[in-house]
Amino acid sequence: MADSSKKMSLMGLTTLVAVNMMGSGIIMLPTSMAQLGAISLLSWLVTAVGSMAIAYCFAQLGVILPRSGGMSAYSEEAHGKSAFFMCSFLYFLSLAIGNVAIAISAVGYLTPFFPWLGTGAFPLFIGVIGLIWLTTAANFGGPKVTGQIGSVTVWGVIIPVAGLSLIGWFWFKSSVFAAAWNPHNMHIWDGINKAIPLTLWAFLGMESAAQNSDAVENPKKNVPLACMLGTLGAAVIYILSTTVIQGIVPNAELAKSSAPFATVYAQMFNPTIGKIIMALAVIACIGSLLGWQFTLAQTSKYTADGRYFPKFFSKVSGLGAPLGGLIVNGILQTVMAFSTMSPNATAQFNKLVNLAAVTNLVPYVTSLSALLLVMHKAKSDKHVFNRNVVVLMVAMAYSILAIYTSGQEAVFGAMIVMAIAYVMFGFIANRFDDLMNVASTDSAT
Amino acid sequence: MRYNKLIIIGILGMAMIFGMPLLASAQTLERIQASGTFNIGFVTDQAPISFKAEDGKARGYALELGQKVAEAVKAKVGLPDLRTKYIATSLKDGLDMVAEGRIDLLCGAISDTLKRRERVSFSLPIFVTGTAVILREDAPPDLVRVLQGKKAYSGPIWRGSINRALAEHTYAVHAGTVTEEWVRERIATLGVIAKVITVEDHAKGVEMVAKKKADAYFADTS
Repeated sequence: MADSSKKMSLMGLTTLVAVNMMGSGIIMLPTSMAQLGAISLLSWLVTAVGSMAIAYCFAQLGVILPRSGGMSAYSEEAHGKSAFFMCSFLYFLSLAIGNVAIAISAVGYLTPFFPWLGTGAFPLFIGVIGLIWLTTAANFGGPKVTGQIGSVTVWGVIIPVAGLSLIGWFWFKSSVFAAAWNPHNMHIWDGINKAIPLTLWAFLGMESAAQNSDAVENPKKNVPLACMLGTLGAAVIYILSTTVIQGIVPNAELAKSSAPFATVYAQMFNPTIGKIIMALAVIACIGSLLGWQFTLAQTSKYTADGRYFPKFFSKVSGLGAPLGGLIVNGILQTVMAFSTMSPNATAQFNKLVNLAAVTNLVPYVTSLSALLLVMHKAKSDKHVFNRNVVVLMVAMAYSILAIYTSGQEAVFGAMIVMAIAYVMFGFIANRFDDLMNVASTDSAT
Repeated sequence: MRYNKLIIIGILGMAMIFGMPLLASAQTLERIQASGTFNIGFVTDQAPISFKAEDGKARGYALELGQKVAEAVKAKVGLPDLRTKYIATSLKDGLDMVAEGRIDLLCGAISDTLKRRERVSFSLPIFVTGTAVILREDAPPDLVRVLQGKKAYSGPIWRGSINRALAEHTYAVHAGTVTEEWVRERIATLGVIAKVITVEDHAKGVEMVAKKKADAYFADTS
């Protein structure tokens, strides 16, 4: 195990949580919201409350049960060994698919700077595997180096998005905002209803703090803090930036912009600044891919440490980087990247992307529901217990709403994947037969 | 829904917008009587309804009906040696020509709309049809879904969702058709990020799709 000087700081982990969440999703969000009108901003009320509830529950779990193994370990507490495997496997799948998807989007954003990338399927494929391996290799230096690179790429979010949240108000015109409020004259509930899906999944990634508890200094304190601060920070930046932009760029223009942050900066300053902002956003997107590669490798490492995944995922370099996992994950993503080569394969891959959102959410339910048992075991104070149960119910309701809203096709696909995962666990279940009673020995540290 | 569209032959243009077809048709008949010629305009690229055959002559279902009209007009104005002249035109110009009295009748696949009725008069519907669209085999899947009447995207919107900037489409539409208006209206309603370019004839539209200059070509069926 790496000594603490090679580990990530609180700042590094908080940054990673916020960038993992916002990195690639924020880039097009203002356009999608403008298509409905500024009325869609009301959906943040639902999203922010629900996701803060989830973050709070993760933080509580981190405080009461500071063990490595992230969501899988929490799930195991309440639901047993197979839940550990299910949680790891579903989450692993979600991240691996999500990473390929982020790489594809990032190549799309890079195209204005490197037009060759947009000339066909082969250049796209080259771009995607290039980014996958660039962000994989950037993790070879270990958690500390990953944190340091992350503290550079985070400026790709800070300057365009957080910066807009601060300085944008000087350009804000209430008349522009009022005109953008409800251009399609929707009923207010109709507007909120249509807008909720735009922001519902924007907070996927807040679990990254818990997932990376092995790689952070003083996890008992830093994991809960990073989870809360990262989520809160992302919420504030999300809400402010998507609000102010609708009072600067006229609705009709924003609704058809393919690079809304570039559009708003081009309007505030000049087109050159707009281009620079776009470049920064691409850096943020690639930075988030870096963070996800890290989280993916950490997830596969702790799962292999627990003997649920093959041993090679456990291999750690002298610098503390889970080298085996990084390389195997890189190969796995490269294979999936072949799907960009034909339209049929792309259609299939898009189905995977949809189900991957669901397999990210199921672990929320299995891990957070363990909070009840964990509080019982820890003999939590009655007031704390009751308060946490209320928050937990909000978090669970939100998670289930997010699964429900993912749609039939996505839930259907996820169900099939889960069935297959149970078969897989059947093959390794014997490994744990004699270990059932010492399950938590490795977590007592 | 505006999927089912009527193909009709435009008949007896009005010179003035009086909304009085009798007066208007009387004017047209007077004009035919005075000139001794019945001018039939036809749209050249709407086979099999109306087209210019290889020998350069006007052919098609609408034209055969047009000939019957010519015979009826012949009897009505009492000019047995009335000459019938065929004038090749496009859908867009043809309507103007009827309105301005440069032709007496336009044959083709032409939808009857309120807006057009402000300027010209229509016969009874002669054919029921719809809007057609041509795509390449490798058309983007979300475009195919929209055309099947499904939502462009029904899954969760999360960091894995491929960015919409890549989904910016170019649609070619047949200029001056109701399909053109319809495509523009749908784009606005559905919030599709797409560029619309108009083309004068089918050949050009198909070529644009084949050469990947457009993702789809929309036109009236015929």
